[in-house]
Amino acid sequence: MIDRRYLEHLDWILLLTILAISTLGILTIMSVTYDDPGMADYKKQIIWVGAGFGLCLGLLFLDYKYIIKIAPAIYILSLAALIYVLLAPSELGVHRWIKLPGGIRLQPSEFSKLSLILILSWWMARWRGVPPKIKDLIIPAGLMSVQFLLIILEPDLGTSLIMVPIFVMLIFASGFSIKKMILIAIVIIIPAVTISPYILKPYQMKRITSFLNPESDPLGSGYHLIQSKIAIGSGGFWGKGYKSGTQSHLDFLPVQDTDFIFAVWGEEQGFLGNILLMTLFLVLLIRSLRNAKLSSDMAGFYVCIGLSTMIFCQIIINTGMVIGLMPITGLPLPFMSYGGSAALTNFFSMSVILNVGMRRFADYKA
Amino acid sequence: MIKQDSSRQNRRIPWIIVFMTAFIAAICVKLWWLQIVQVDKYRELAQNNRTRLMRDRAQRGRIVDRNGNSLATTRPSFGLYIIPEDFPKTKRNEVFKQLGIILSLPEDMIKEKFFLANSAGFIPRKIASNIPFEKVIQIESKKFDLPGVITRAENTRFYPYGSLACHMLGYVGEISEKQLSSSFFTDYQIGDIVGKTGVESIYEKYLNGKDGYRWVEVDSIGRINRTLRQPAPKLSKPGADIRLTIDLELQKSIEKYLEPWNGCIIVMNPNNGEILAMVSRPEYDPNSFAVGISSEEWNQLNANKDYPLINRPLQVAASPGSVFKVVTAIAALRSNGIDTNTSMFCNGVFRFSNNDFHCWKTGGHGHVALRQAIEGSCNVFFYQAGLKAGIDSIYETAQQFGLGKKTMISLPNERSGFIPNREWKETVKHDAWWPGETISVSIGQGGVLTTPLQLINMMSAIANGGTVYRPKILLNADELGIQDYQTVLNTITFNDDYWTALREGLRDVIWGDHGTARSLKMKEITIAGKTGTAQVISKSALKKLGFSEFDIPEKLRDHNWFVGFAPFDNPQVSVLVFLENGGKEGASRKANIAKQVFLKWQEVFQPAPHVDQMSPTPEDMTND
Repeated sequence: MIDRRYLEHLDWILLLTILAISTLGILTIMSVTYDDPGMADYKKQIIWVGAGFGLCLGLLFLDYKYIIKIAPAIYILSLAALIYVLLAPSELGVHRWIKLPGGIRLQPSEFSKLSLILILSWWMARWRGVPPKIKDLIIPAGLMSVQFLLIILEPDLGTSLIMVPIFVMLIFASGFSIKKMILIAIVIIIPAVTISPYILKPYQMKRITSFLNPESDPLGSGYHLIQSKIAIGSGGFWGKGYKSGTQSHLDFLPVQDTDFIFAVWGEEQGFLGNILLMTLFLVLLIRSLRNAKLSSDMAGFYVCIGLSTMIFCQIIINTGMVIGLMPITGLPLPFMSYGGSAALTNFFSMSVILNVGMRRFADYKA
Repeated sequence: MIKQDSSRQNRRIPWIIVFMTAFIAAICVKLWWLQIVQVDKYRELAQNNRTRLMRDRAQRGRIVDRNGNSLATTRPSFGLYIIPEDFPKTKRNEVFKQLGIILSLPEDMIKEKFFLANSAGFIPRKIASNIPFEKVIQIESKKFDLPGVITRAENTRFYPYGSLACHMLGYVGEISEKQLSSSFFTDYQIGDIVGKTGVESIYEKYLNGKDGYRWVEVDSIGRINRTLRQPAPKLSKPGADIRLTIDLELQKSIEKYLEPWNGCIIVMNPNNGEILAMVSRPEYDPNSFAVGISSEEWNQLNANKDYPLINRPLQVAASPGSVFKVVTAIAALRSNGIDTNTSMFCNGVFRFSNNDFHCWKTGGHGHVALRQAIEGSCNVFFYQAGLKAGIDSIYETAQQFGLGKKTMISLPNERSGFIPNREWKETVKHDAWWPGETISVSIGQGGVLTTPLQLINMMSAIANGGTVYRPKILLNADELGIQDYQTVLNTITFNDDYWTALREGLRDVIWGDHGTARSLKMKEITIAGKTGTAQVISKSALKKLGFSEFDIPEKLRDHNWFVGFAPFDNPQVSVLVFLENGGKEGASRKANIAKQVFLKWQEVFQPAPHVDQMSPTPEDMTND
């Protein structure tokens, strides 16, 4: 059975924060989909959040060290899934989903972020707290690159771009020399920017250019950005009130319950609601990093850093996209956006972070 | 593997927290910028995004007869539109095909309507009007197969009596590009229905009304979500009714009398110029224009050799023939060339500078004075009277009666006709006037062209003692605020005895033993009038073409005229009958047609008292 001390060391604040954000997410999805015919998305989201939360609690019984131990297997499985979707016929022009019986569609790239964090943590823990040299980075970089390339081929720009900051953050956390990091960054970023126009698909380039100048194409890809800025901006300080957002309810906003849910929230709840949400996210991140600090081993440390960076990137990329600070990449907002894969991934991440904090004293274990 | 609390790795965590907080803070700063600093800008943008000004087209006014019966009205119907933005390119051909089958229209026509409209993506493009209700249901039930196709309730012009008075009423159609660019039509938009001709077009300003406006909330693809209460909607003001002077019952009846002839009948009140009925045949059905005439139908109407679109009372200018003799008589009397007793001898031919001018009556009329000359329509008398008056006097008199110039009736495309004169001959033909030409003009030939409306206007002036009115078709001009609607074109002063002689001559045309329209003689109503025949082609030319006098092709047959007024003592009505290419048969029928018209007028306007028959007597009660 679970040790009573584990419960004492469970990060209740983090757990409640996650539940709070998930609740706000369900309410917002309800606001835009309550009048949809058939089964409204918010009902499905309740089920996904419930399932995610169940997974989260269930996994607490399992020592995260076992998960770290099987990281190589998970990594290989994830590579297999990514190769499988690339070979499978495309859907809407992209290779992104695995269809399971019962209409469930899995998105391997969603889980591959987790497998990357696990495999990197597993590998970097072997450095035993000694800051790595440059040559030590070759294998982690290779592990990251393989996944990165497979995902960019799908193509899923949003997810692949998240892998880089996760990797960088883990290297930073490993105590690697900051000077060397800056040097490497310069060496990599300049060629990357030069060759990216040849690698990115036209629509991905268009997203970036329309981000730089949304008015250049007001009815094309710039349209969504203009409309989401109007939604947020017109929300004002207090917001237009629950279920009263004109931008969302009159369909000016695209994908309102997934990628642009923050615009709906911002329109209806205003600046006040946004500050509340951002505060909750900040609490989530700081508590996650606290668990990293408290972890009893290096693997737990890295896993918490990696997972919180993943959540952090998604928050910044999604909200930044909605308010025009980031290109439109189609990345959901953690715990808010509608979506099963994302809910399961996020709750799994939180479960691992909670797990690390809960098992902070290795010697408790008999 | 055990980690130290103060390890180098743990010391980096605060930096990570600072890093993440900085990013979150940056997001919050941008939110502050959008939601606090620029809130007004974005509120306005959101408002503009979701609100649209919608126009509610005013209901078009009716056109009614003098008793208020609707001659043109509107009825609810359905129009079919396609919204380009909701009309996926990949499904277009399939949708065109489906619509073609449902509406039984050629696919190409639907395509043409769609692609020619070329409006912005969210503005519905009109494809068809007046869709039958069962087809509307059919289309609505197939909504998913017909993306972007919508039906909308609207008003269609409707003429309950079909072709009745169609030339006067005119018809409506979609506004043309040329009209749209003119200043009169500034409030109009593409696809609006406007009057194209007739009363519909002349009184467009009054019939159209004032369109209303309302603010509506639309969604991102322009579908109306709801009407906003603020700003308050402005209701449309329906167009005014146009009350015409014509009488439905009279109009309806006399249209039948004209069958099977082409031509026209006009019934006018000589004392104020009101047109009581005006028929032009052949007619067309203005309803087919209201629902959007097909190009095939339009071409048929235009190619029709009987010219159904021509409003004959004012758009046909023909030789008035003997009717013009009245003008010659007045000119001769006024210039003192003759008086009422001047007698002339007719032996059937008049010789003038080596040319023979024949009378229509081979044996001649013998000795005739003015009255007998009018009664028997003696050419020889009027040849001489005309010579005595001179072309200048004839021309001036004709002008005073309004012949050879527009009557200013408020209907479009009126023709002016023509009266030959010295000045014209000299400036246009560069030749001196020849007295022989005066002889032809005296009997309404030699290039004299008048419209039927001019002739009845002239006869009305003779009936009322010299006042030439502007023919009037609008009864409620005051109500509409049209000033000076009734205008007197001219007042002709003339010796009373002459008027009397002239009118008596016209009465003798019907009542005299030698009158040319004796079949109009009846006890119910005393009619006076004049007949006339307008040669389409001269007898010699006809012979050259190889036609015998008894087998003339229809289009070369004479036109037949009758113009008259009644009752003789107190004229209340004037009637004109014009039979186009009536020929010999028409010559014998025109008087009968006129008779029917006079009788019908009497029935409608002066119903005989029926008191005796109506009130039951005691015997009736008991005998029953």
